[in-house]
Amino acid sequence: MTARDALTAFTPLPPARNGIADYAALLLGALTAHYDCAAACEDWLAEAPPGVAVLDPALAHRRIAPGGRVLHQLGNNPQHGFVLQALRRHPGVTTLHDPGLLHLHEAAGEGVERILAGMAGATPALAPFARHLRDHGLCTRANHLLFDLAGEVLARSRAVVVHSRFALGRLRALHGEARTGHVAVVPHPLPAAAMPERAAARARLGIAEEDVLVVTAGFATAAKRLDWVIEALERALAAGAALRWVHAGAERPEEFPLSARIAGREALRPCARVTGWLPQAALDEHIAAADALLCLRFPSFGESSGALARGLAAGTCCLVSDTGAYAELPREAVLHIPLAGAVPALAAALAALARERALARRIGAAGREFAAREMALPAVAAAYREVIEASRERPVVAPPPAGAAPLLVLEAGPALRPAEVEAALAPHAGPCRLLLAVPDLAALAALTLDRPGLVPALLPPWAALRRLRVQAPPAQPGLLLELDLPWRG
Amino acid sequence: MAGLNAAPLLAALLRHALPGLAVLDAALAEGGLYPWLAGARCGAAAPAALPGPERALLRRFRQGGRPLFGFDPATDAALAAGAPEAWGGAAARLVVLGAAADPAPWLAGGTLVLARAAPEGGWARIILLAGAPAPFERLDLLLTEEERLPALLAALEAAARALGAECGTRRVSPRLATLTLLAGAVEARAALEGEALIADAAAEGRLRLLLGCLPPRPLGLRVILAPGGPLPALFLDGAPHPAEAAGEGVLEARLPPGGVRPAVLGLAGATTPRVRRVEIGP
Repeated sequence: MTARDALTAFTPLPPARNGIADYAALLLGALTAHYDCAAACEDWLAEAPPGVAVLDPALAHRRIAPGGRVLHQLGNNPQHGFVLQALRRHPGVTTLHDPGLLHLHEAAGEGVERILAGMAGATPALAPFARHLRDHGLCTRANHLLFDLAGEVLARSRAVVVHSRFALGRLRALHGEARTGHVAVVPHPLPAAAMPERAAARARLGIAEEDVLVVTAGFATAAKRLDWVIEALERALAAGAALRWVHAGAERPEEFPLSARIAGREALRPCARVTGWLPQAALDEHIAAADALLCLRFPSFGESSGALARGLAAGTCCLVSDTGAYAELPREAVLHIPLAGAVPALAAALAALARERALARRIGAAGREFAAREMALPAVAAAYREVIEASRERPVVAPPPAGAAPLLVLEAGPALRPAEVEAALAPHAGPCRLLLAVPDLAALAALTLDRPGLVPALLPPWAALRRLRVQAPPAQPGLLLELDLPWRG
Repeated sequence: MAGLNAAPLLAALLRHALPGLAVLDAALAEGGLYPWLAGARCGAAAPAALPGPERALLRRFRQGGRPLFGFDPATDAALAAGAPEAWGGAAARLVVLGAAADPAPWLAGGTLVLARAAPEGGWARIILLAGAPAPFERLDLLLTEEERLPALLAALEAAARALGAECGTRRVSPRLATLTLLAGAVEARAALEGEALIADAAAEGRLRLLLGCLPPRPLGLRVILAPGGPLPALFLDGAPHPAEAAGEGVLEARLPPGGVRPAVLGLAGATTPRVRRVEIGP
């Protein structure tokens, strides 16, 4: 490798209100030590770090030489729709910030067929959820937990980066060893710039030294368990702890109506505040000023947290759910809150921290020491470089070329079960014909009368039915289905 | 294939020689006559032969609100069949083709074909050797009726002289002639406005304009916008490109020599830029 090989990253960048945009800016700034970096971003006027050109993603392919180095930053929100499309054209290294990608697929208009195709690799026991989506357009929160839709990303990437062993393990469990052999764990980096000094940050925010400031940060999603935070804070306040709570981030009321919930709590209302979205510098001030930064998560898909990295860098005492990636943090570096009994445990922890401020400082210092050792930005950039270089020759799985649709024949008697149809279709991808054969047309009529909704019931939900016709003698009689089957990589 | 150095000269030649000619420049991605031939409908005759990302890029654009030729099957079929309505009722039609396209169906419908490296066929042919001033570039003007060749050659020769170009013609056979023309003085300036603009309103605040395959020499660019508001940032082929304000609503920039792909001008601001006119010239 020469000193300045080109690297093109497809990613949102600041000022997008997206933690991954901040992460990408941080990472690309560090990767300029190794590469001539450019960022393909939907916002052509985005703020890239010095030395990194911003490109129009629709034209970025003109910069990418065959086999060129490409990095995708993929998260589970619609701001990453163009990244998902780009990784289909330009295989490279993909950072999977959130292995659950169903919200991205839904919000970026990927269409039900693609979503069903992404569900195809799941265990057959989950097929009813996919059927509900196909037949009734039903998609519940359970779908987001059960289907990660990461199969396509795994197949189309030369390497995949996740931030925790938990995320890696989850991918392995859902997609198998063979499809995840190219997944590497690279920790979330610390911010490049020094975090604000605590006393100065508190002074600027008007936080008195005697106040115990509790901060939560980022989008107020349901998974951040602000409902638990509310309950725990109320208990701690009732126990006499003098706490102030600031949620430093935007609300997402469709997921969790944070302000409305706070407004309904008399004891909490006077000492709680929601700032709305904050620019990075203001967010850093709140995190640095905090006595306790709460990073709860349930359910967890193995996500990493930029706010947690900043909390560790600032030496703020961080309280995390004892789950997912957070469970991998050293016990002395953060306070782990168990999932079972989270509310009383959190209330007790907050009351203890309010009583003994030195305890919070000791934990914060240990967290900072750990982070400086394991999460330093140059080390993270070097790890990325290693992954990028090692994966360059790795072929990606390509969708099968379009060809003649194979013809499969199954005897369509009363005993034919969906599992048999699914097993017959499983080895195939792309256009496929399936003849549900019958002895004669009278038998077909009887069968369809006997089993209303025969075809949708028999077909797995991810098999898209393009055309159906009755095939009459002298050809073999039956129902001839023209299908489009998903490519599973 | 790089943009034609002689494209401005050839466009002027055709305009003078064949007034009222309706033109489909189906070689937009391979160095056709856009942006020099005002009023030409544009597109790609063989989009499937383009690399996927280039095909996806062209698919985004609209000319006069319509997809480019090659990306709108119904209209494409009408144009290819020579349907008068599709060609605006023009009596004379010309299609500019790239290397991957087959001229036969067009010629069968009575359309003139201008192509680089046109294959042999049973067609009459005027080989155009154009230097503007150098190097010389060859294009073939194909037609089915050889009896039309003498008149067409004469019209082209007269147009060349009217443009001040040095020229020479030769009738090799009833079906084959050559026209050599050399011009250093054709100071062509392309002016694109209205339906001549090929645009993609990518998103709020962003606009892409296709400039075609530009000649392999530096050129000047002038973008005239609706007045009011700050000037947008200018991008060329997806990357920021230096530009200067030249009066209210006017941006000027230097364009580097054209490459093998159509140049794309990008404009980005707080609101979608409203472009009135784009000029490309010396």
